[in-house]
Amino acid sequence: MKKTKLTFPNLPLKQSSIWLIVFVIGVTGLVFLMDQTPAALNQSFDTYALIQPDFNYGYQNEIYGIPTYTSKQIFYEEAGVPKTEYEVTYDHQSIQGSSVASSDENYGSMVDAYEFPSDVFIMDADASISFIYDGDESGLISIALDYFILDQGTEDTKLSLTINNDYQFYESQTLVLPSSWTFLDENFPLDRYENEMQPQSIKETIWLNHTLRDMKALHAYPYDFYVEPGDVITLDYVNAKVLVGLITIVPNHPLINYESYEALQPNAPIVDTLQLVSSRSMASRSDASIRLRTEQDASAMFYDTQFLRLNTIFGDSWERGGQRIDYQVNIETTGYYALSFRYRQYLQNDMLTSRSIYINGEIPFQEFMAMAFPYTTQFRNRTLTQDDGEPFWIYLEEGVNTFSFEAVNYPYRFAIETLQTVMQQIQSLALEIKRYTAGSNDLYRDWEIETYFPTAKSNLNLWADQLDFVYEKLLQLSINRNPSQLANMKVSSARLRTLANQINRLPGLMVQFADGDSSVNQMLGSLLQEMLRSSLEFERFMVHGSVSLPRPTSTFFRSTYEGGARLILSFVNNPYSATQMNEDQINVWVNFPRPYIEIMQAMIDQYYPGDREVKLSQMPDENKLILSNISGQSPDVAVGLNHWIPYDFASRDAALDLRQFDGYEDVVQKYAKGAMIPYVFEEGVFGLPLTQNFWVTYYRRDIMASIGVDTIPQTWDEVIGILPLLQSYGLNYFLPLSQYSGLKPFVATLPFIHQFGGDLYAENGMSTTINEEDTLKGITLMAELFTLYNIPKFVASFYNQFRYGTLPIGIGDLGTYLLLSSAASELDGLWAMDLHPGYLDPETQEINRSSATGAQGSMILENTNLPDDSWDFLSWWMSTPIQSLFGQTLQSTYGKTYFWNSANLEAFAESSMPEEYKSVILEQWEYALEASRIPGTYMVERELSNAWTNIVFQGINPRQAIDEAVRISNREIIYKMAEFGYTFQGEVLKTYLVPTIDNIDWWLTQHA
Amino acid sequence: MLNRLLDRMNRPAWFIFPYWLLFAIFIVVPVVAAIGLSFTFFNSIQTPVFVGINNYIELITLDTVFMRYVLPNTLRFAFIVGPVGYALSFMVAWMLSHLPKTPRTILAIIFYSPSLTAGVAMAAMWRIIFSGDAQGYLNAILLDLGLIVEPIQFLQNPNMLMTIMIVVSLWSSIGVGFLAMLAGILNVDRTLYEAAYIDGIKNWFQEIIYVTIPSMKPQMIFGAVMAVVGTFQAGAIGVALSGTNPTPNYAGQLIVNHIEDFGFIRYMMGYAASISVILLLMVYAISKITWKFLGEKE
Repeated sequence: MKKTKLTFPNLPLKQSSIWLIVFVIGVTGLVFLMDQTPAALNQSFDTYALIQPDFNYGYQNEIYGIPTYTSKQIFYEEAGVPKTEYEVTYDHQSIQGSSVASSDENYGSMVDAYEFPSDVFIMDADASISFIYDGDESGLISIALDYFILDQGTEDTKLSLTINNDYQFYESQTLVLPSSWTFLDENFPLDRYENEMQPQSIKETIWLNHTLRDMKALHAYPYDFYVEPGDVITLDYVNAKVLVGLITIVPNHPLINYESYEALQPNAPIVDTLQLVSSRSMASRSDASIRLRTEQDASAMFYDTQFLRLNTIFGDSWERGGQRIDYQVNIETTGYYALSFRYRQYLQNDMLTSRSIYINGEIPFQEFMAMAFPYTTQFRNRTLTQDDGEPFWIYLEEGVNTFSFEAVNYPYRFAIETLQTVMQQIQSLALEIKRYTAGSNDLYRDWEIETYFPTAKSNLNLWADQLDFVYEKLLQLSINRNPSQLANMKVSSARLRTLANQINRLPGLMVQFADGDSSVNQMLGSLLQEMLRSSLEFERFMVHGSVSLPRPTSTFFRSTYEGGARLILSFVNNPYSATQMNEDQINVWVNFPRPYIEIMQAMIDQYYPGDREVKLSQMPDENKLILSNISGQSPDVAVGLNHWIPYDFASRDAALDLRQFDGYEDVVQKYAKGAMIPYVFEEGVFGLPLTQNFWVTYYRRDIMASIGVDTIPQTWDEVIGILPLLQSYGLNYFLPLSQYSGLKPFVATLPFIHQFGGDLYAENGMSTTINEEDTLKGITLMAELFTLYNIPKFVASFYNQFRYGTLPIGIGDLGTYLLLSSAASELDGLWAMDLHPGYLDPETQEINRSSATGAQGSMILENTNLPDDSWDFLSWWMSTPIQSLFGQTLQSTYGKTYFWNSANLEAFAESSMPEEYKSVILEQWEYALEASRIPGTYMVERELSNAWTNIVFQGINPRQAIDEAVRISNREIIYKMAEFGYTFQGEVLKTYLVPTIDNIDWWLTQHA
Repeated sequence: MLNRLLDRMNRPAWFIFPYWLLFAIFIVVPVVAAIGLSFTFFNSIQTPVFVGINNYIELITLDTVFMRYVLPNTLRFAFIVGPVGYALSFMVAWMLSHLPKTPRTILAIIFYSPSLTAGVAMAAMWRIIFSGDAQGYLNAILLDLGLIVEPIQFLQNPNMLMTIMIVVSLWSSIGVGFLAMLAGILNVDRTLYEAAYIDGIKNWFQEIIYVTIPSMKPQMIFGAVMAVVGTFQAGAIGVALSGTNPTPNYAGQLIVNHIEDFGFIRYMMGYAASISVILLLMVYAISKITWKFLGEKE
């Protein structure tokens, strides 16, 4: 036999055991090395030095003509205006306003609950509160007040303050009164799959005290107001009803430093205990948006292998300045304690975010004003530590102590203000240059920028210097010499210098300067936006003495084991799956993400009064509904379908006519009539709207003001009127037509038909009427806006261009609103909303603003064996109190971005959207008008789009293009009608009743 | 009868049984079902109704979109992308075969990878390049060069969509056929070339014509069939580029899009099935013709 080479030589026993031991030691060593306890992140940063900077930097002097607080502060300091030492409390005798006594029927109980026996004042849209400063000397004062918030909404409670009817500074127009939210239930409820859910939160109905300060947490310390004897100080309603009790003028002195703090209790001992406080055991929080998530690590408190347990504050929900969380900790022995966190800060790369730390309602010393939390993507321990490595020892007395942590941006204020200033100046220089060049960006044309803008070059260099200066200062907040978070700043300043050196070419280099993704303005904008986010998540904090802390991660073996166990269990646990259905339950498929379903199911389990159990499942996708229908596995109810789906099911006998059910009329009254149209098939109505979209005008207040557009266009003629002005700056208007690159759907084309008095179909439903005179006028306009008036034909993202300022006005929907209100913090206060532009009827002088509203709907499937129960459930679900509660619960559980645009108008009116927007939307919904559907509708939609394409791209005459569209659509309608027995071989057998806004009422009644 | 069949199956036949089973379940049954459905009216919700050859009659006599746009588009697309892509594959394979092993492998992967990336992912990249705003790469470059004054609507304009579809498809056409041809070229016996030179050929062109291609016929046929079949089945590209089905003015509508349009948008599954049967026949015919041209002629 041939001798083969062995892979492993035959080792003698001794040798092989040595190898085995070496191997084992090696592996163990490796695991041990990998499994080292991660070092604590105890670095110390001098954030306080940046809170009240003693250096000069760029800041805005005024916004919309009102000075900023920063400019006021600097002015007071230079002018040597003193802080008054005057302290006084104003009660109901010295306050003017609409007073409320304890006998009041509405608010009496709240007055009784107030600890000072005194009448209080109500502040609402009609009643403001004022008092006269009665001190002897003029100077700076700070104001505190007792208040009781009457609204339960999730919006911040705001008021404004004037002195002698003047806003002293811009920020005094919106002063926030923090609320206090608590969980409705301290024991977290489990859903039916035994996973924990965050309980709903409620605003505590208690009296609170607050010293007016910056609740964006840029300015540390309460606001200083300048008063002279006899000045009238007025508090005004902004968005929420509030009861106000005593108003106090309080001193506003700098905090002591740690040395002085320590000297207050020189003899107290350090208590060597260790007390862990889970982040979930919060006593209250200032904002319902702050929410918990599950950290699946075995070292976390409350960890469970199989089920989800909430145990960590979710960083993305705790990043807005002013968001505060309070904890109550019972201390057994009086003495000194250190404070540590098991935390993660994954947002500011190489930089830090900060928290103010309040002990029993007060920040004990300067260093806690903005405690730094450095960047780490994994959970680490951090003991709040002085620069000599010794912890900050906090003196705590026996008993319950309150710890509060507030997200603040104090250390970044000077940087944020500089960025804002530079951005604003770039924006206005860019606009001026565009006016000079008429928006041309031709690289090869020569411009005389230096002659016309003699300061441009030096300004660019100045801004670059400012950015560099800020960068240098910010390095104090990093342990890295080149923090990646700030890279944009360096690039921007270098770019500005390059541009300054070729200033005459600036018009052609606008893309690098002010427009577009990679311009200096955008780089600074995105940096600014991130700097305003002070994200932090922590799983627990620890109050302890000189003891060692538990490790912040689980060991290698433990996490391997848990990971394996979870993998196996994931085959067993499968919540909200659509595969298991029970005949006796009402099976509902919901086309929404999991968080929505969890809340929906919890609400059903808690409140649904029906006899049947309701089981929700997550809809895999809409096509599965068709397949499940074929296989007979369909659910009883489907919720959250696109609004055109019920029609398709209805026309194939797969959905139930809702008009047969009792209570139908009451339910449909709550919808916009136009929103019901797509659910009509023949004589039945086969679905109900669930959510509703809106299309309204969004505009940039700052840009419109600076180019001199003071009235927002209400009609198409007015839109055309402002286009030359916009375009002379290289700006433009946005229409939803340009966001669809292929087929232009009805949402984009319909306004141009309905507004001009046109209709899609003839009365008998057998042809389309888009070639009628009125409609043709609309379609011609729809094309001319692009061919003649040069609106951009394609816009990838209106939201982005809106932020860049290149499309400062346009028509957007709910999505735009959500992005603007939650993601574009740099645009706060710079944008507004107005109605959809419309067609002005020359005879009646009325503006028709019809626009589409279709969003999502629900239907009951034909196959259901529980039709009445299904209807009972669906009508209950769409009822006003439940829709309203669902919207509130969503937001109070997950935060403001989970906005529920219920199609139930009453519920929407109760939603927490700011009044200024809500009123616009509700008014726009009076014009809500969705496309009616007939067999073959898709061809009309398609041919309308093709006609537009033909006119705009092929230059075909509108009349000709539309006639062609009508010919093809009509053919398809007749063809498709045959499928439903309305036509036979081209002959019309019976008419098809088309629902329109004029005859929809007929369908809104129950079948006799 | 089953018993006799089982008796007749000798033991080696059992080894091929898993293949038969899978082939039957995933190929035969669906094809038969599609052919069956093509004789019905089926709205994908209710039970199909038998309508005879009505669907085929309608396809030929009524469906103007099919005759006016879809068929010409498909043929134009297939006859450009198929042969050009095929030639391209061969050229690249031939050029690569002259390189040493390591660079050849690396370059082969690079050339092959575009065809691997799914049509949609690929189109996402091309969509940015051809985006119709000033931020689209191509538009931005053209604007920078001063060649145009306002962005061109590459993906919306019906006159341009087809051209762009062809360009993008050619870019990704170097696929599995290319790999086969590369293997084929590398397998050609080197001594044949020497013999051919002794016999008097003079340049590399003659080398290709008289030696390389005849020696790798099977790979050439495989590549050709793959190219042709692939282009007839392409459909995702136009929809992915323009963002919607149907494409603007049906400019990029291919048969596959037409099938999806009827099946999923108009709820006419039976009709869609009949179009797919037509597509099957077309692909079969074309591959037969290809075979005729390139196949062994003994």
